[in-house]
Amino acid sequence: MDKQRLADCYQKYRTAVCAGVLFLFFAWVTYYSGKIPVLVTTISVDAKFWPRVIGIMGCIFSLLLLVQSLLEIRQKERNEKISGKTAAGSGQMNRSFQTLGLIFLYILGLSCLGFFLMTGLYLFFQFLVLSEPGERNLKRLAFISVIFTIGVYLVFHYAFSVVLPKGSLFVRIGGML
Amino acid sequence: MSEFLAAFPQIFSSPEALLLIFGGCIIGIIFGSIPGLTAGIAIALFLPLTFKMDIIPSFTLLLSLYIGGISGGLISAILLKIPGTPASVATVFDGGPMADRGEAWKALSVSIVFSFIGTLIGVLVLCFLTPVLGAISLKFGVFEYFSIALFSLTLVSALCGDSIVKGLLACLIGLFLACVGSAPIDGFARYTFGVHALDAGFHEVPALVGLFAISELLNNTQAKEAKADLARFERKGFGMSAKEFFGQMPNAFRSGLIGVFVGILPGIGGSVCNLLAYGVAKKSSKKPERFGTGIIDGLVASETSNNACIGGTMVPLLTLGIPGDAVTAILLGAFTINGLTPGPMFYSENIKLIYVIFALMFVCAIATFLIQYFGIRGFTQLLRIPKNILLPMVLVMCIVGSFAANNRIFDVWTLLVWGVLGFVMNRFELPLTPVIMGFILGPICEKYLRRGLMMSQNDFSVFFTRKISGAFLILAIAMAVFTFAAQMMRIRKQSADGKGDS
Repeated sequence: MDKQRLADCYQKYRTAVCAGVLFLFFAWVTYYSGKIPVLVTTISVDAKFWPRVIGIMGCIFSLLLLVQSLLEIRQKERNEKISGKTAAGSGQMNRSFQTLGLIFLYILGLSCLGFFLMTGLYLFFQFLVLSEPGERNLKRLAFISVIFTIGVYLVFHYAFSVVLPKGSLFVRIGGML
Repeated sequence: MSEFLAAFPQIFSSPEALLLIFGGCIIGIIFGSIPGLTAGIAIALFLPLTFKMDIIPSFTLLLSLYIGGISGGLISAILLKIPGTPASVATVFDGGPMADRGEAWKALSVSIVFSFIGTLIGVLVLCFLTPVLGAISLKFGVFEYFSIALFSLTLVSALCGDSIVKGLLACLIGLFLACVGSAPIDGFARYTFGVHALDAGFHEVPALVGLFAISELLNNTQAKEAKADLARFERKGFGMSAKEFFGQMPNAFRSGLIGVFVGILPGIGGSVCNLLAYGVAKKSSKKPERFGTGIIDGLVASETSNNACIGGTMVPLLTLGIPGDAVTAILLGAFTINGLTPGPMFYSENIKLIYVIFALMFVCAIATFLIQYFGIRGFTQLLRIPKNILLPMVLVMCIVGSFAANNRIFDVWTLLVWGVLGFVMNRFELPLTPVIMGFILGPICEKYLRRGLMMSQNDFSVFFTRKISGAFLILAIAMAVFTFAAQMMRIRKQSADGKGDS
């Protein structure tokens, strides 16, 4: 299947898929609300009442959205004008996923390797991900990463008295020394 | 009036006040002027830094960011023809052609002056309207509060995005996320799955920053860098004659009132009011065909209305504790962090603080005007910073800010999870503002609903039989039904048109 057809398919069924996922999610919210512990009293509005209302309403509205989206799909098929909006190019979507991956690794490393090392590394690689291949000046990007990391540390540490993560690894090494 | 004047010495009682005002306005203008960054992101980002401040310095910073952020949008709207914030879309229509004709300074100057006038109109209406609404809100009880919160949620869901069903679903996601943690009244843990860090629920700061800023920044990584030429300009006085200035006053006054009115209604905000005011100005003009060719009437309408909207959005927040949009939802968070709960008694109990907020908005308007007028050349240089450098820096600030909220890594994970949620919702065209509103108003709704039902011994009809409460509930239902019916009719009409064509 070529890219254009995939993009058309995505545009066509996006809302229907979204409605289906939301229905399952709110069905789970409703089911799980039954497991919330409650006090045995005569009052019927206990801790499970509000989540149950949310779950049931969510199920109803996601079904409505499903019906609405199916009607729209039928109308689009009739009109034979399906493609319409252009989806973000795969290269640009890749950037978002690479950014997400980098943020994930950054947060994962914060507690272990600390603010300084992780922020510097994160910034450098993030700059690389977002730069066009011809515009990657490694020395400049590394310099900006280091300067910005030091600047943020100084501002938060001295101006706002926020103790940023030192990194458990470095704390351990420090303790051993 | 005396309370308003008495508030000024309080603002300047601390030595750092001027620094916070000017610093906040400058940062706000920077965020507003760079496309992709907004006043909301600036406020969400700086909220953790206000935790250790007293209430007045904290609001000094947040309000200056807000006013600076909304005003800053005009710079890129005129010089790049890309609105810095959604509130400046209509500024592009006439600002762009004026810049092309070599009248960039005139466009900037007119916009800066009328942004200032717009903020003043908003503050004035706020000063007069808040006491009236504050007095009315004293008559509200638990039933009325639940109904107003529900009405606001319905209104926001109906007006955000292109489908009310999507809006309501987004709102329900927010309401569910607010359920995570201990239940109000009896304190039972809900949806925590044994994770003790979730016992108090999601912390507001990482949640809001994640949903609002991280998702926006992730979307921005996909957008190609705008290669628009930056228009050049020479600074010459105010760029307009006294005749032109006074000739625009009726337009400014009308647009300002539109801005305030739209701001009061939950969920609409600056992104709509500037287009609405532009449309009204065009219709009322003797030469509507000249709109869009580069005349100051369009700039005046857009910039006066979007700044006046700031005053409007503060009215329901200060009198009812109901935020009108995402930015005021964050401001509500700032009140709660400082141990204050806006609501019916808030106005009468904190009258001095409320007048300090009015005075602060007035001072911030003046500061923004001075900074923009004299520092415009510096701000235009910021538009040259490439996105690949700027976005990662803002991301680091978001992460550090979320960590600073409680000094724990768990909040940074919260930020990421909410950011991914916002990003996915954007892909599925689900609006984000109802999520924020649901998350903020959810606990209020549940608390008052449960209290109300306890008082009425599980009789829900009381919510309808009490006049004010019933009126708001009927309005909410009518709004939902009519909006849904209108959308279904639109789909059917499009379907019928398609059949006719084929």
